[in-house]
Amino acid sequence: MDLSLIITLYNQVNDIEIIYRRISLELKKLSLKYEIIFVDEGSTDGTLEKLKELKIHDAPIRSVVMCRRVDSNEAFLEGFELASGKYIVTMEGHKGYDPADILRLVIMLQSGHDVVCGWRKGKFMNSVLRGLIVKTVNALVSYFCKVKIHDIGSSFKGFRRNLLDYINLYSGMYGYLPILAATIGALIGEVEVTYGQKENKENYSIWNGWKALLDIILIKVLTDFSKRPARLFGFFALPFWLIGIYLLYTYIHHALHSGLPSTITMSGTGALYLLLAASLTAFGLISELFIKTNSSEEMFVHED
Amino acid sequence: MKTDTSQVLQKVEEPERNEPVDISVIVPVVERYDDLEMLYLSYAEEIEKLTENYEFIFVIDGHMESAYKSVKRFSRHNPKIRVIKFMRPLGESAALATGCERASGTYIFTLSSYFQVEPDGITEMYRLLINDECDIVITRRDREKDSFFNRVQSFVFHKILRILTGANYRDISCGLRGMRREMVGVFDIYGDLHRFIPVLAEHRGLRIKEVVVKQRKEDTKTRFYGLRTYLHRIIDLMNLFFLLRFTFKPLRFFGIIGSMLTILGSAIILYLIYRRLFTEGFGLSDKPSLFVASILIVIGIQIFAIGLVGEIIIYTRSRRSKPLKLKKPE
Repeated sequence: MDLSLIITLYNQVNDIEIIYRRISLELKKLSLKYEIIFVDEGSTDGTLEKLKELKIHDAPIRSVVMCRRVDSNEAFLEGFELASGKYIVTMEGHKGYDPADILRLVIMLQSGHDVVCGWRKGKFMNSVLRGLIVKTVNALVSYFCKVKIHDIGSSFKGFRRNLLDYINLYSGMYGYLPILAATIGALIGEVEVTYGQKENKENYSIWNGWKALLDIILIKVLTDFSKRPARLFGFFALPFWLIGIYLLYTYIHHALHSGLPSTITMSGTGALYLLLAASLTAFGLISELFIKTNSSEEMFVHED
Repeated sequence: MKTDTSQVLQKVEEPERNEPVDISVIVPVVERYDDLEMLYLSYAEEIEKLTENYEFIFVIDGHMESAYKSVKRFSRHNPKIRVIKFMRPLGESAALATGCERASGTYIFTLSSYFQVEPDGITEMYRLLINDECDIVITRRDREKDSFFNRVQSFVFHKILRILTGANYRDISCGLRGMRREMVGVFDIYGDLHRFIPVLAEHRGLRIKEVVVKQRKEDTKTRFYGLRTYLHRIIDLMNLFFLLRFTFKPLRFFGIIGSMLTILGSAIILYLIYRRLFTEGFGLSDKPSLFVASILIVIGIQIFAIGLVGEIIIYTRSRRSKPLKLKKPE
């Protein structure tokens, strides 16, 4: 199998057939052996029946069906397990995408990229706050994680199959795949894709931006320091060591030279910061233990 | 249900019989127990109406010697009863898990070791399971004659449960439950988590149905557990809340609490420095609020760091826990 196309579905009884027809029309232009994997995210309308109907007519469809509502991150990971193609392309089952973009992703993959991200240009222009948050998040990701991506939240992505064997995928990790891939030396590419339809109304608040910020910190820590967390924690502990020592020093100095009874505040504060510094260092060492006792990983290489 | 009990000595006395049965009834005897023979007889009578082919498994915890003796008395010549005895106290979750592992029935029922509900609800539960209308069937006591205090404490408990996890149950701790055999091993339980099996199961995507059963009059008298038990319940609820929502995202939980505290502390310190420089001119060392602010910062950063350590552990260790699939792919 050359190409596995993973498509998530949620309550799309009306659209699924159109999506399928358009995609297979496009894929037939390629001289590739392909399969389409539909991952149902727990639809409650007739999507399942429609899926069965499609399967009878056409061979290259497989499906995974979840029995509860899962988010698409989870659904894609489920699809990965089924995929047998050399390349994998993931997308949401959505009429807004142009199936022709799949070809462009595949061409990029064939030309040696390991991960190709779809860039839905100008997608969030209708909501100012959301657009701002998304822009900031993408800029921060590009800056901190050294991966030049304009639209990290896009689910239209292509992967080389064997790359996924080198990444520990667990719940919610799908979104970070390009960054995680980049840290093991994968070549990341980007393709502009059309995205016609409006996003369904989601509640998007400053809270989401906050979560995204935490996620960036996390991914930075995981990618840079998960091999040697003692360095990270040691780095953060350093200023607190300094503050603590300084405060205690002034306290002792004051007591020795002026002879006046000093207040407890300075010494207490100094001791507190020393405590913090010590515990941060200890956290680092403990994390190091966890990593040292874990089995070592293989290196990602291209092979043809 | 999986609990690591392999390293613990168990005394197993069971008849030489290995062919699968239709119904396995597991009775964990952990703390409170009433006349177990009466219990066995009343339920066996009801189950015999459904099938001849059933077994009872009594799992007796380490410190329940007297219960063990009384079970031995009536089980000796009965091929339908199996007895498992732990050699040290392991608790109810372990007892349930061990019982389920050894059960050979297509359907498994669990039962409390004291008189809690009338056995006639089993017929309806069995019907639901056989018709594949649900994966796990739980029961709710009708509480018509229940004492006022019991109702109140149960109401409060379930209210908190609903607030924390969104799970809407009215009697989650009723001991009579039934499930298909395949459900064994789907979720890990340990400690006191057995109480929350329906919540865990629902979270993993299983279908759950509730059957209303008659409460026995022995169960209606007022129960007042010690303060320790109530405290344990609250901790269990917190634990469940964390397990369900943040197992794979510890930083979401610790990060938000930690950064809030740190921001608050830093704001106070900045304000103090501003006052020191521009308005007052007193030394910072005379300000207890400096100390308070520092404590906030220290605690905040520590909580945040704990979240990070959690993430690192998950990242290097975890394998994905999958939501269950309804249907296998072709």
